[in-house]
Amino acid sequence: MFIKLWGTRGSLPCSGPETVQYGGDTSCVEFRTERESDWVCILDAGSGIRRLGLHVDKIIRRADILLTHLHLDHIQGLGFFAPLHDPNVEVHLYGPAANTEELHALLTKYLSPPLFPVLLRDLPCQLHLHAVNAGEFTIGDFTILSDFVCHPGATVGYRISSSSGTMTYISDHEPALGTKKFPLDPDWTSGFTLAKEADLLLHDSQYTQDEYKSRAGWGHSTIQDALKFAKLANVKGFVTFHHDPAHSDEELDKFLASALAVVRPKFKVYAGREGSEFGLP
Amino acid sequence: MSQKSIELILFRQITSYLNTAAFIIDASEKIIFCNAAAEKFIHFQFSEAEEITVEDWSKVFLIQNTNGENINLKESSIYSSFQEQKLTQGMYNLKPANGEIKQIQVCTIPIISHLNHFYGVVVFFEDNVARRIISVY
Repeated sequence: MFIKLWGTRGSLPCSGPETVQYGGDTSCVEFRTERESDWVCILDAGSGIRRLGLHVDKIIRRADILLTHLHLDHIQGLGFFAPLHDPNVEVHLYGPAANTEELHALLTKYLSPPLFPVLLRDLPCQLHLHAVNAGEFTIGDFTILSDFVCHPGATVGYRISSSSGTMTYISDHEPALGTKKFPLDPDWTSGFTLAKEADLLLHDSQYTQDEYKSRAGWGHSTIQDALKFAKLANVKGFVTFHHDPAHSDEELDKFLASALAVVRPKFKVYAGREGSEFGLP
Repeated sequence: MSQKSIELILFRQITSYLNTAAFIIDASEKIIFCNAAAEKFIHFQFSEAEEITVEDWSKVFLIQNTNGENINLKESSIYSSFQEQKLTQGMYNLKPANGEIKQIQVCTIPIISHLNHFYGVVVFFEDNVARRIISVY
């Protein structure tokens, strides 16, 4: 499995000299069976998907985009994904199901005037929408397990498996919410089944311990809690993700080093930087 | 045991912060969590490893109607909330492990997800005569 990070920032895109190394684009991850193919799978459509779109435009014939939830930082790049404007491309868009409104209606809130000039229905690509529930489905050679996780509003995480390995993506997640001592027993830990023994876990690592004190309930994890979650799940590799827009490159390096000194994980830990590539196995 | 749904996890989290006695029963009719207030109320230490089946509920506490007659839990409002997946209320005598009978009010709320999946019920109960000192912030 080939994996590339196109956006690792949370909440809001941020550009400037202080975010050059980690990047400023919001959540977007590419995964494929092979590095070069005409079929691309994508996790989230944050602002990072714009550059991915330019990279694959005129090459791909199918794109499957799996949205974890519909907060703006995860869908704001959608209208700028070039293949959506190509009538020869089949685009499958997956998002968490809701009982109040259809996925189409929810996405249209953003992809319609006055917030966006083009209506979802007017996009030239061959668009198919799929509501995601807790359960399993397949996309090509990938088996996808989805489940609802602890984050405000309907939000899912994805466990993606192929013959070459398993990658778990939980971009927005606060499994420590309300726990007096984290982590709890695995059965009582949000997202555990998704992450269990994954080869690579991409996980929310937005806050420092100090910041979390005033932001509990906002739906995000500290770097320390994310590492503890990964340890509980016995993953083989871990990537920090969904960095706070206020954190500079220098601070992110420092925060990760501090968390590693406390948790002392035995698995490999990678700082989630825009442009990073991973291969499974 | 298996991974609990996010709805059960969040109910456990919130009830663990409450002074109102509460326990959670999952869809397979097992008590999977009691908060500290409930443990104190029924004089029973609920270990995290334990999950009590419906058949064993009576080992933890007995309930009676307000006339003092023992009743089967399956005839109670708790169980009808479970079966009908509706909010119910009831008034009973509760006989916990220490034998001290208390009149209680019980409110049972079904845990139904936004996608209409039934995960169990959360049961709140309190002494019918007790009054708590409440600080208002």
